Amino acid sequence: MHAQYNVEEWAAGTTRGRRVFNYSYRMLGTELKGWELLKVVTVQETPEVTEKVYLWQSKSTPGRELVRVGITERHHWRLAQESLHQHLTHCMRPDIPRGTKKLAEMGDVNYVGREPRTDVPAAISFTRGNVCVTVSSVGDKSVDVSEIAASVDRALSERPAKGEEKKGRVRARAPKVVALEANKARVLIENLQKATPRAGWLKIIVPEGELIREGNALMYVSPEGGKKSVDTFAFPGP
Amino acid sequence: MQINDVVLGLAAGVGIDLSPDGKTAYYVEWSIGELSKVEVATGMVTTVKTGLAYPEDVEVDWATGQIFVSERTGAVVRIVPGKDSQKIVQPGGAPQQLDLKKTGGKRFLYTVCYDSGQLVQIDVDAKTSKTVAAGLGHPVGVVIDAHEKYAYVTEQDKGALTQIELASGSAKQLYTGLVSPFFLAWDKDAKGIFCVQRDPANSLVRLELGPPVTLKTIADGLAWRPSGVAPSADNSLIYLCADRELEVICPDGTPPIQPGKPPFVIESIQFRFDGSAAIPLKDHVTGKPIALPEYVKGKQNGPAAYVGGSLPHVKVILRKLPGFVSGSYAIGATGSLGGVRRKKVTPTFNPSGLSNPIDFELMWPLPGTVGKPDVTLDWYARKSAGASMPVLIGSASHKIYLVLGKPTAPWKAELPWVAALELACGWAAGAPTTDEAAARITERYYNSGKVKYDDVSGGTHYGDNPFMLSQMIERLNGGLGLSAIVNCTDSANTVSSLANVVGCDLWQSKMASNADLDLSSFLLNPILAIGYPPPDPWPNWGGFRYHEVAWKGACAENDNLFDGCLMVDGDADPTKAPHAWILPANVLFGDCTTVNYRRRLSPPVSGGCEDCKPQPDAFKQRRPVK
Repeated sequence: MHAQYNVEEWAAGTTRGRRVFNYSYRMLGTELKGWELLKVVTVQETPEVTEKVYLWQSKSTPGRELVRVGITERHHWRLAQESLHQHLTHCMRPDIPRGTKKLAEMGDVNYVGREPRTDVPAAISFTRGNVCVTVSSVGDKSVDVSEIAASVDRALSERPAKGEEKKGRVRARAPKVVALEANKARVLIENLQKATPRAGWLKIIVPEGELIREGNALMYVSPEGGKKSVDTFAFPGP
Repeated sequence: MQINDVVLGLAAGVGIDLSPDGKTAYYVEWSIGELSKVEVATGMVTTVKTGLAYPEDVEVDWATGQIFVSERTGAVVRIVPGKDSQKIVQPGGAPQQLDLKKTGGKRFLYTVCYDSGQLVQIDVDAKTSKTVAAGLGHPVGVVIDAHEKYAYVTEQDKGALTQIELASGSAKQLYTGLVSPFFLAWDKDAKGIFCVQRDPANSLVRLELGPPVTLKTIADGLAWRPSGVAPSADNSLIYLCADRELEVICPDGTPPIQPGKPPFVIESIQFRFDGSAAIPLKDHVTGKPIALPEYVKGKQNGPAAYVGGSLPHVKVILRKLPGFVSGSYAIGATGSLGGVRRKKVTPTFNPSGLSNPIDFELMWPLPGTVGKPDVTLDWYARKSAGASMPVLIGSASHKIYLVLGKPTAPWKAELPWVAALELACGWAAGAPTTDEAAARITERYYNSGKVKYDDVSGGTHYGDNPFMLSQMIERLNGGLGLSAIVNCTDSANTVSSLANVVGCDLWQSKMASNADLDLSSFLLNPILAIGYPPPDPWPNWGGFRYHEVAWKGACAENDNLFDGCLMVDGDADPTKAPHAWILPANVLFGDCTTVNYRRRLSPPVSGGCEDCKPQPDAFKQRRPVK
């Protein structure tokens, strides 16, 4: 019998996720247009794993449309995929498929559960870098969660729009150029906690190689040595 | 007419006898085995005799001063105040009300015996007894007519007043439909009989003997569980001895006895202390243990929890009031579970006016079933030497959680949560065994209407480790929690965690074709998942990657389980319609040769039942809760 979820295949298909790292990512309540953040629950908070659940309610049909966003932050993209694997193997449904068409682009690897009566994508789970995300419709009325999932994916993986900085929603730190020796990890950020705005989060994007957290430090390693430009975005808290 | 209090703070008051001049009444308290007398005009009480064995009734020979008491344990004793007491006969069968008749220089006591169903005549001086009639249905009250021709008896079984001819023993029911009819007394002209009706009626009626026999209600709303009745000679005053107080039905405008001033009050009550049977508890919202003492007057009133059947002790601190006179006091409490056993205490107070903690014992062991009673305690004290009036020194209601055993994991590393007990003890209320408690919790969870199966992916929504019980409790109590959506893991976690807090011993464990869940799946029969209405099965996936339940013992084939997540088809062929849905609660997992849970869940085909295997080695656990 073959495993349904081939983690090595996932790894082989992961490119962008190796180059992004999010520290202390959090949803603040303004991310999803037309939705209201009802509650945030910290499920796990250990040195290795932070897992939070966000419950969002549709503003147009409050009480009927509810979406649960689960964010699990790990130290490395492989560990995020381990979390995704854990999540999927703890779903009782044996045949959750990969996303197709536009949904196939979501995250580094994704799976999509469709509501059996309407066939809308009502549960999407994916990883992006060191973060595993699950987005599920959990209200009385099933909703298509693909746009919400895509929004979270963008927040985790893309450079913020320039207008965001003007509005004070993010501070793009000057690109840092670091010299790497091939296959030799170097410290990119000594202390992630100190580098992060209070109650905010940090997103780091590098052009190649991969990012790994070790303790409080963020390490950068690449098979190719040379000077690399590192983008760091600091998102302030509320 | 109105009802006035005469004596408060009785410990299961039962029989009463009023002196011919109407000034003094004797009464017995069943729970503590005491005989007392009260000056009915003032409410001043004197203890006459202690150490009786569950006294039921008292009958006084006012001419000689001898007092007769029937005891639940089978004896009738004679008491001469200030002298001795002596068992005169042992008719057995739980003698109840007594009626003394004097004829031709002889004294006969009549009584009925609750357990044996007999009417017995006792020759007091010869110390002999004989059975007059038998076959009565749990008789309690008895009065004999002046000519000693007939006995009139209340029978609990039939709610009847029955007339028995003493010469022949033949019985005739005169009136039925009475509510827990208890003791009797003749009215002033002996044409009618007063009859106390216990709860839920808690009333006094008069049965006119007619013919025909008719009933008239004299008073409703008597103190809870009245037993004895004693009218004055002109029937203008009718004294009643109830469970917790002695009261009088009297004409309107009769001034009540003014209650005495308390010498001290209850300052605090502590249920859990070193060596106590109370289970430590936690408020999971604050993350702190329940503050001790649980009750502090005007400040806090936290709950306590016990294993059912235990006999709690409490530590009580008194606060001295102006007018306190040092000496010995009889202190105890009446209450909804029998109150607190009265004891003699000589309190001393420190400069701040507080006593040291004083140990008291509840009257009775706690019920042996799961529950969450609000236990009321009304505390009374009176000077124990000489005549004195019992006065109220404090009242409070205490939430007590009753469980069947010490909570098991996850409630070992974690103190049991009050909120978990509140839910579990409510759902399992009345359960006498752990299996029954777990079954009730399973059923109440499945039928809660608050959660619904994840028919999109069957995902775990309340955390795999830890289990977010705090959120589940919020959800089940009508809040948002982490939404309505659950799967089998969430359900197994809920059922087992709530069951284990009331003393069950369940695990969360999985069934799967392979311990590596990535390689696992098995075929399904039609099922009906939680939150979906019958009759059609849902969801129709045809298979599960795994399934998880609350499981007993080794979580293997021969162990029973509780599945709060889904119903299976309970008929002879669970593979097809029609479906007789049953919720699996305390059912055997089983093998694939017999139709047990396993065959009801998974069909006996390739990829089915044989692949639905218990996987305790990999998955048997009790997840921590958060």
